[in-house]
Amino acid sequence: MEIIRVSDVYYEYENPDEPADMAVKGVSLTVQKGEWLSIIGHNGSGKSTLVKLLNGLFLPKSGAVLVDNIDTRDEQRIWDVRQKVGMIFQNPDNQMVATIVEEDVAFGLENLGVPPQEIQRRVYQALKAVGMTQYAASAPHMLSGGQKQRVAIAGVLAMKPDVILMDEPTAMLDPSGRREVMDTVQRLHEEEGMTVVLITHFMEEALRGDRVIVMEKGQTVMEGEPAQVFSQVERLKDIGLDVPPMTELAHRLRAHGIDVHGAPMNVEEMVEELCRLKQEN
Amino acid sequence: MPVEARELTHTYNADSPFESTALDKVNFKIQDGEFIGIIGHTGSGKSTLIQHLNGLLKPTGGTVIVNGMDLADKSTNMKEVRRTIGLVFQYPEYQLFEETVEKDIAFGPKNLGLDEKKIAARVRDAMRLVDLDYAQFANKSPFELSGGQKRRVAIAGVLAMEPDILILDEPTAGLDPYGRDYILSLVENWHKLGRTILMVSHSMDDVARFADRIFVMNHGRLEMQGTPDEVFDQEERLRAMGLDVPAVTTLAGELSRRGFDLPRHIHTMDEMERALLSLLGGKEHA
Repeated sequence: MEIIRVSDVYYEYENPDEPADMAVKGVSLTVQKGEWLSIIGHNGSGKSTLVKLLNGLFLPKSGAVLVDNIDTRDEQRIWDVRQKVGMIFQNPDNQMVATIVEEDVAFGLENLGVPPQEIQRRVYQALKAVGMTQYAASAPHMLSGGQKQRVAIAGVLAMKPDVILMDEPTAMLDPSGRREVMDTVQRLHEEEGMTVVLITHFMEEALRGDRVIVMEKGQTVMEGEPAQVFSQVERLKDIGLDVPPMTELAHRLRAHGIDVHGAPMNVEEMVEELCRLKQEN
Repeated sequence: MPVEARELTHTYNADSPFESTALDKVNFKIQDGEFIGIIGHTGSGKSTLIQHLNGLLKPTGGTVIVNGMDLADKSTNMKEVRRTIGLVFQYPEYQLFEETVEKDIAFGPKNLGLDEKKIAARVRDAMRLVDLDYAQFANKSPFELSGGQKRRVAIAGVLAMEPDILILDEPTAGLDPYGRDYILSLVENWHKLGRTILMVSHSMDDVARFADRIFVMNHGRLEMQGTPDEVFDQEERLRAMGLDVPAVTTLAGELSRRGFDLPRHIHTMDEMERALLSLLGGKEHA
C-alpha cells in the first residue's frame, strides 16, 4: 500500500539569497507502507528541500505531494499530514522542549488534548520502543547525543505516525551514538513495521534500507535496491558520493581484472567472495 | 615548536558532588611536523585535552609546555601561545560574526597587532589556502555562503594567524563526502608545509590515512599512543573502548582466520588492494 506519492514536484526558493541548486525540479516517487527508503545526495542536491515537501513544511510550486491520499496543499488537513509523517532533525538539542524526558515525549500529545491516562500509556510505549524507559525521569541535557535522538524518536512515535521522516539524524553523533540510533530505527522497522524515510550522508546507513534514491541537482538520478545502486561505483563518485568500503574494494579489484561476483556490501560478504576467488585461483 | 604534556590533569567541579576527572595524568611529547590523530568516544576527554593546549582551560594538575612556555604558569604570555597554536573548534562556522568574509578572517591577525598591509596579505593568503576566490568572496557576508564555504572561512580565520601548530576538533563533522574530502586535503596541504597538526576525528579511515601517530583517549586517560599500525593492530582493545577500526582492518583479520596469508598491518584501502592483488594475481594496470 502506498503511503506517500510525489508527482512531478517542482519547488524553488523565492529568496534570491538561497542558492538555486537547492531547488527540486520534477521529482516523482512513492513510498510504500512498511518500506525503508533512503535518500542520498550531497549538500545542495535538493534532498533536504524534498524532505520538507514530504510533510507539508514546503508546498510544491507545481505537481503534488499526497500523504495517505491527502494533498499537502489542503490547508484543512495539514495537521493530519504532520501527524502521519513524524519528523526527526539533525540536531537533537534543537528538538528538546521539556526538562524531563517523559514530559518531552508527551509534549506533542498534550498539545493535541489527549487524555492524561492515554498520554501516560503512549509515552511509556514510545520510550519502551526506543529502549529509554529507565531514563523517563532524567533531564534531557544529561543524555548522550544518541540517547537524545532516541527520545526525539519516541516523541514522534507517541503521535502514532504512519511514516518516520529523518533528515540526517546521526550527522552530529559519534560512531557509537550513530549505531545506537540506527539500530533503534532498524528494530522499529523490522519488528513494528514502521515506514522509514531516511536522508543520510552515511552510505552504511543507506545500506540498511530496502530502497535507495540518489538526488542530484534537484532530480532523482538513481534508484534501486542498495546492492544495485552501490555497485555503480563510478557513477556515484562522479556525483561526489562515497561508496561503502567493501564496495569500493570490489571495484578496485575488478579494475585489475579480478572477477569479483555480485556487489559485496559488508565484510562478511566480502570474506565469502574472496574465499571463493582464492579457491578458484 | 614541540608540545609536551606532563601529568596533565583536569578535574571539573572539584570538591563538589559533581566532581569529575576529565583528564587523568596525561603524558605525551609531540615533535615538529608530526600529524597526530586523536580518537576516543564522546566524553573520553578529547575536547578537554585540546582546550588545554592553547590555554583555554588551565590544568588542575600537571602542565603543558608549548615551545618552552609553561601553560600552567600564570605569567606565561597567552597571546604568544595563541599565536603559536591555532584551534579550529567543532562546527566553527557557528562562530562567524563579521559583516564580510574579509573582516572575519582579518579579526585574528588584527588582534596580533599587525599593520594594515600585513593583515591584507594574511587574509589573501589564507583565502587562497582554503580555495576561496578573493574577488568573489571577500566582500560577501559569511551568512550568504553554503555550509562548507562557511567552514572554510572559519578555518581561514585560524590559518591567517599562521600558527605553527594547528588543532582541529572534528573538522569534517556534518559535511557531505565532497566537503569532507575538501577539508581533509586542505589539512594535508597545510601539514605538507611542515606544520604540526592535531586532528580529533571519529573516522578511523581518515586517521589511518593521515596520522603519523594516534592518541587514544578513554575515561580521561591517554590509553594508547602509537603509529596507526601499533594502534589498529589492537582491534579487541579498541572495541572494548567502544571504538571501531577501519573496515579493511576487520576484513584483514577475518581473512587471516580463514587462511589467507596477508602481510601484517593492513589499515588503508590502498594497502588492502595491494595485498589482495599480489595474492590473487591481478593485473597491475587494467
